[in-house]
Amino acid sequence: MKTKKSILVSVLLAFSLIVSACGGSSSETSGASASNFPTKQVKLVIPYPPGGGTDVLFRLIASYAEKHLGQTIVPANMGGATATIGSREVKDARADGYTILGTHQVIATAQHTGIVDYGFADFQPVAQVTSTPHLPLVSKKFAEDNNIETLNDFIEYVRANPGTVLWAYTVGSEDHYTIAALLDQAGVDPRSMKYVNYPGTGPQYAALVADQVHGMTGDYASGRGYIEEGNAIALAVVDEERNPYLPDVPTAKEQGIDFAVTVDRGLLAPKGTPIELIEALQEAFDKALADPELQEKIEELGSFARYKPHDEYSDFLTDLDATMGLLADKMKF
Amino acid sequence: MDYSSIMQAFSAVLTPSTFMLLAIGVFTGILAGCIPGLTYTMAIMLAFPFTFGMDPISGITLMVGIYIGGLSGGLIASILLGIPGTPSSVTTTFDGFPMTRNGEPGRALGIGILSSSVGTIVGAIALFALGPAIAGIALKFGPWEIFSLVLFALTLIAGLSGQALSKGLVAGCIGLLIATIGYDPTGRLRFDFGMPDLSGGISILPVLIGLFAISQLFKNIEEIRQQTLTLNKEQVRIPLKQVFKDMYVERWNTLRSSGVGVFIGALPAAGAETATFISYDQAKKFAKDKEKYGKGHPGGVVASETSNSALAGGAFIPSITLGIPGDVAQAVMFGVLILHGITPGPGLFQNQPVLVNSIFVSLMIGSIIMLVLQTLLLPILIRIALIPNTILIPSILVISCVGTYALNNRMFDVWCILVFGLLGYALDKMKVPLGPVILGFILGPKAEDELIEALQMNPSFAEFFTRPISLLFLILAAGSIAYALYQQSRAKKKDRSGPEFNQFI
Repeated sequence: MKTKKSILVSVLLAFSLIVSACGGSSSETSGASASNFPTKQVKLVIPYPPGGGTDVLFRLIASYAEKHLGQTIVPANMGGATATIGSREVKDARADGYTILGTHQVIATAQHTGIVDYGFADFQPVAQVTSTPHLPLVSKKFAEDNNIETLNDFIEYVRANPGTVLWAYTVGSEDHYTIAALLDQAGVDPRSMKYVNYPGTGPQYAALVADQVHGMTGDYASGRGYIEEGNAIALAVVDEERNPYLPDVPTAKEQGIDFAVTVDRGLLAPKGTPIELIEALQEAFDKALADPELQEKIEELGSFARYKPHDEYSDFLTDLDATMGLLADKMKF
Repeated sequence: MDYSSIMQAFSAVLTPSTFMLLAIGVFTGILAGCIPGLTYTMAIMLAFPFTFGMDPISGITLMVGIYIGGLSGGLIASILLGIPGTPSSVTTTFDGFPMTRNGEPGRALGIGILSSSVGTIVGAIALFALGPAIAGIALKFGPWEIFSLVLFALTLIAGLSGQALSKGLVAGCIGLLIATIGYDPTGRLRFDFGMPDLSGGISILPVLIGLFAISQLFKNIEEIRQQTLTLNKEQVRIPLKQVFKDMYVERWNTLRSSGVGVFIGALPAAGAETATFISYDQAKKFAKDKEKYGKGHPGGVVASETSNSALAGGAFIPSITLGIPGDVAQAVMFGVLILHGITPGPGLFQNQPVLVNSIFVSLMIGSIIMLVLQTLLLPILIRIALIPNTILIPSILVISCVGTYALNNRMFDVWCILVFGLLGYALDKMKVPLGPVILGFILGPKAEDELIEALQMNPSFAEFFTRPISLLFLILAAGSIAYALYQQSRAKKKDRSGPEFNQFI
């Protein structure tokens, strides 16, 4: 009996040790002064599971930025709940510059589709790093059956046949907003398509190739293979300029639809992080993104290095939030 | 067939540096797989940055090594400790651990290792020979078909419940209920009890480690006075003759389970665990001596390990032929290619024949490395079973906690394993089987995702019955329930002295 008890005690002791060891690292941070910031590694929370577009991009950029920062940047994946597990972690973290979030529009879409009750306003922007243009795609069969070649053909089809087009999306994610805003800008109620929810872009492509859905919102990196093979038809580039890798696909603006929101990835810190620390972080990412080698690697991943300092990024997010707010009701499919 | 690209692939993989990478990958994978709380997915993620500086073939070879090593490595902890090293080796514990307790750890490990290698090779051959054909069939699986398949897999709870069908059903429902925590597929929040941490739901790893590892450790504490296993020299060695005989006896089981593994692996949404549960259930149903399953039947180990290894070949099918990675591990592996400017997609086979063939070649060679490595490591590994519980229990506890924390970098998951450990221990005391809990937990969300997709496409339930493949699985599901009821009533007639219960399931 005695050994049994001592084991029990040792197990509980071990457990409490681990608990305190794991928990300790986040709470021991002392108020660092700006002059010597950072004095220890910076945690970059990525609100998605490993291997996705967001994860790969931020890991790549962080590996360059840490050379200029002088401290290691440790990417930490905290996936789940439409990227709100990770964003909530950073929102509630200490505003000492040692915890930042790598994210994109999903912060606002999650708020405006009613998934969480906080948005961009609850963070301190650090810098924008990349832009990824969305590509509305339709399946080969759907395009051929209905003679759809351009975005306008498609929009006319949706207008003429409300409630028949099946569109793959991920609820509360950035593609949710792009397709809704695109249709709205073209004067079609976004709710005139039928939306099918998928847990991520991978399953969306599977459904598109198998003709289970008619269309989806993809991007160049993930959709290149299908576009080159002709299994998916890109209707437009949702950006100000054409994609140099897809010179034949016109932008939405060229097709008369005044809409050009890209997926803009950037870094956010907890609200109240001192501005000197924000500037120190911002500088490291600015220098990293000026490196042609990194720019090239980002382009290979289908995105573009588009740096914005914290004040510009902040204004940009405020505007984006306002436009998205106007569309909120129509996004509740 | 283009033999020159196959030969080029062989020579590429067999260059000393690439071969070393493959061997290192397999070894790392085995380590990650055999430690509860670490998975091959994590190991692949950790290795990802190292591939930046490699050529694409070396990078993918390293990844393949980790992948197959990890799929197989789970068998070690499952057999020796009764703790599944990875989610896909849950079924290995059902018969592998009883075999260890019966004094046959060498035989169980031998069968497990050989089954893994055979499974990997069958998977690789299927990928090579039937890849495009299987991909074509897999594409026919829409949400209706996958939902019905998952429903069929859920009925296997009956087969896992032993004689206590009602307790098995309770267990399955507990699993389903745990899985409903968090956001549902349409973005609505369920059962979060106001705790933001619960909004993302509970990950598989804390549930698995809690239910199987922590509860097993609690049980071990009870038995601490009993002398830990003593094995003589004979039992420590692999009884080679016996193992080959076992494998020969189970040859149809091997083939069937490999087939199930390849096919389920090729379905992007179905998942590794589904394959092992179906294979185990099939092996049991086809066996002449069903009643020995769950008590240390070699067939149980064979079914589980061949199917979870054959899965590797299967999982590459949608990635290579369609460019659709079926799980996170596949997504990261193809991230390696994307970083080198190679786009996965339907054209990969034509554009990069050497690269594609090198995946096939490294699966084949990797499986042989795996066989050799695990056989060489065996005399050391087997001593795990001889470590006194006083040392073993706290060590496993620490490793499990660290692994679980690393999963999502949050303390919440570590508390989860404690809660699920206590739950598992309590269920075990009430003689409620744990297998169905994990089955319900894994399959519930899959069923829900697919059901919602299907209904968003067409709000009518009729389509589940009018699509032939979907109907087939629904009939199989009904048959599986009927069979379980029949078995139970027959068992009751035979033995009125009360249901016999098997503690390992």
